[in-house]
Amino acid sequence: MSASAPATTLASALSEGTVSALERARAFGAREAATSPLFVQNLRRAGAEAFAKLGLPRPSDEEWRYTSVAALSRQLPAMADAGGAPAGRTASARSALASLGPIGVAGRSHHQLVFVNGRLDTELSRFDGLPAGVRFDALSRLFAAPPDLLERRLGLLRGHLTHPFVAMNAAFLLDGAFVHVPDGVVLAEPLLVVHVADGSAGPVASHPRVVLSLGENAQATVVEAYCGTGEAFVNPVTEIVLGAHAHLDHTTLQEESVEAYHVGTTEAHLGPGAQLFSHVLSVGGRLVRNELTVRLHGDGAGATLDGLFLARGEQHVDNHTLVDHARPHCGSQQYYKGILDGSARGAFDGKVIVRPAGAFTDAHQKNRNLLLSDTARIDAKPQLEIYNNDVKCTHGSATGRLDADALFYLRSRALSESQARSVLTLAFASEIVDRVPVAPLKAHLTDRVLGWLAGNASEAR
Amino acid sequence: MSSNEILSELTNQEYRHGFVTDVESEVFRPGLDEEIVAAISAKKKEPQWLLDWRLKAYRHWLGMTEPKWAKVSYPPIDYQAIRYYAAPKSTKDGPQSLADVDPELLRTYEKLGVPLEERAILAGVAVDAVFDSVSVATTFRESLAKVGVIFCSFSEAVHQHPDLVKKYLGSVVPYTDNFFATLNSAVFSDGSFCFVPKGVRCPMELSTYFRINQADTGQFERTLIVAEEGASVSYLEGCTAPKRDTNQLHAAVVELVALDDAKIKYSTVQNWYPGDKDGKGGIYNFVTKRGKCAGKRSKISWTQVETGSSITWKYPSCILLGDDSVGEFYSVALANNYQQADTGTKMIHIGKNTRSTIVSKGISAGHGQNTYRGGVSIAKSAIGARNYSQCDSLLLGDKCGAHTFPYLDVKTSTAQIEHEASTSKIGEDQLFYCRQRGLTNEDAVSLIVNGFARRVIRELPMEFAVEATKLLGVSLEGSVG
Repeated sequence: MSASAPATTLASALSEGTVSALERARAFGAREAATSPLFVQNLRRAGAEAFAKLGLPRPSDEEWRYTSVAALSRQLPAMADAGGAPAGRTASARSALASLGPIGVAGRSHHQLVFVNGRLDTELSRFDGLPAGVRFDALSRLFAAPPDLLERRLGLLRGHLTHPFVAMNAAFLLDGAFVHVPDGVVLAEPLLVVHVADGSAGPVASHPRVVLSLGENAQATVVEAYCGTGEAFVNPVTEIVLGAHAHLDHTTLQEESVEAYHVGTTEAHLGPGAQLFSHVLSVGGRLVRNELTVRLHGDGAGATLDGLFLARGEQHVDNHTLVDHARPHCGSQQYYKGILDGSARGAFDGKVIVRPAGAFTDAHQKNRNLLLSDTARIDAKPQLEIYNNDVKCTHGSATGRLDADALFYLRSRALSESQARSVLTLAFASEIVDRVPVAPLKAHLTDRVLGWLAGNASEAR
Repeated sequence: MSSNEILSELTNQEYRHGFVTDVESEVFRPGLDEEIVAAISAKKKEPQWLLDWRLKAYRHWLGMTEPKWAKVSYPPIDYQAIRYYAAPKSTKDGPQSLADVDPELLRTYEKLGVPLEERAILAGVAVDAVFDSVSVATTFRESLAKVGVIFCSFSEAVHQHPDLVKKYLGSVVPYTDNFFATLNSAVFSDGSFCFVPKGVRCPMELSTYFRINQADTGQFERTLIVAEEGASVSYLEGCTAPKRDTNQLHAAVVELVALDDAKIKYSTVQNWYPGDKDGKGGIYNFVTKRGKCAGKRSKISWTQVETGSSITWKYPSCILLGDDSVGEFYSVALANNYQQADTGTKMIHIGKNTRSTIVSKGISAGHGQNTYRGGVSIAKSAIGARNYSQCDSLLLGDKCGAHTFPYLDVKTSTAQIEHEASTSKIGEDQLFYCRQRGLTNEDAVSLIVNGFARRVIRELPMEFAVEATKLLGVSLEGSVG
């Protein structure tokens, strides 16, 4: 690890990180070229070139105001190369999966793809039994005979040309999930994509890519879960394209180990009348950044963005959203809640842009944060950028602690201090948890929050 | 008449203060170097320490770059093309009383409606009038001196109260603060100085009226207000400039210091020339204003009505250092035609139980771009801090923009922070309701716009509230709140 390297200035450390990551990316691209179709090779090359040009975000970069890139860059040189990590640690993956509770236990009837350190684990994955025309497969399995649609969809949103971490993801593209639901097909069963980062035998890195594509009037529910043990750098990119009136419920559950560095980027492109319901739930990770961009590029498209983040100890969670209202009659609702304890640091940086063509926009942004300790810190930046006058836009952000009156009321009903705090904190979280559509996931989340609270209580003692 | 036509009529009013006063002026050559800085200092017969301070600022400025983060765009400013000093030629020792002031200047202020003559005693406002780089008249000095209040131009204060100036100059906005404040520190020419001693409640409203007259000049004034323990003062500031096709730079610094239990209320009606309807000309208003609530239970309140300037870059802030101190910010910002406003506030909570309120109302019309950029930061030490922010935007017309960028940084769980914002146009239902009550379309629009800005306007002292309402291009029915 470069932590033992002599102290250098941040700028040179950043550029060194970039150079070394670039070299590794080139070597990686050359090694994987034989088994990859041409468009994947091109994407890797474009990503590497863009990354070389972009470099890592500087601390002065407004979009990275609340996340220390320096901490990330220290991880980079050692971890950037995903190809070197040994695959197929099925046993440890199983135990990590078990921690996901009812949603992750192997043997249930879910359609699931399981990746361990960025590589598909065929033993734990289950692809069959889906309606005709539905694609639900691993990228690595499709590379041998890639469907046309994959070629059209992979890298379509072009984030790899402008975003340093998406560029890095493209440069190291190895595996991931491809989901396509054709026109008019409604999937009742949720699709589960699990990424296990197993750092029990030393630090690992992975750059998974998830491509979700829904045709006209198609409906699906997709859950992306991130879990694992030990030190890891996970840099996933999710690309979502929704056809006219498609309907996607998308959940990202992040509960990696507290030694994991997680930089997730999701971009969704919505056609006319399409609806996206997004849930971003973060519990684990040492440093977590959840970036979500939703482009409402069809008339009457709508997005609901929910978020919940729990952090304690030295954890750092940065939630970044951008909703781009580019067409008339679109709506968006954002609701992000944060609960912070210990010396944790959280951030909500959300932006709504209404472009000149975005008439009759109805956009709302809400952020509520609960601070449970005096050393926790929250930064909120809810922003509106509006270029059309016929809109209804509001945003609100509030930060505070548990209500003393409510605590007193519960105490007077014979609840202990910690019970009373748990009840109120759980109630605070429930507002987001209750809106998660998959029942087992909802139950799992409630358990998670309760476990988290119990953990806090024992930590305090 | 459709509501759109009324809106365009309301928003197309001509700038009324655009005349040029023909007085003989003394101007320095354009450009900025140590020689110019020294020449400004020599012109004002300043002591060595102040010259040294200016030069320190100038040298620091050379190493700084212009801030680019604001949501405004303008062609690069050539700082060597600006004249850093312009003053009406007057008698050698400066005017001793109003009788000595050039009558042309008096007529200028008469035209602007500023009561310079003491007969304006009825108005009950003491005025310091700043014309280009110098203060031309300060009224009511004797009656203020009787109660111990010092109110004079900055250059006089340097000579007559050097200890006070030395103690407080740069104590809130240090010369290293930011690009424009540092530039101001190097070349500031004049401004107002006000000192309210312990326990004194200033008996009248104090006011400074700034006027840019000379072409190609920049105006760099500096205002310093100190309220000692238990003192209170209300201060008003107004600004206008002639119509010109070129852009002029105005980079002022305002520093407020409030000690224990002191109260300072600072109101601004900013009406610099905003440029014509095609965005040509106008003032670049790049101003640093900051107040320090140094004492316990002190209070600083900023109220601003920003209707002028082609570009506004201004964030009146409060450093809430003393326990139980209070900061307030009330703002109405109007961006019309091609005006750009990036304005807001910063509330820095350090002391215990500090409280702050932010109410910002942005009105965008024409091609105007209005941005609220505000920061609330709660330090770990600010136990029990409380903040409430409300930022609303009203859009009149479909080519303008309204943006809200709040930054909320909280480092203690005992703080309670709330921020709310909304953006909308005048609702058809609101207009319809007014219309069916017998109001004309115009009256209905005026009523709604006034109602929108009312919460801020009512914080202004009476005289300014009237001016502000007129400036918003709408007449207020009934009494001013």
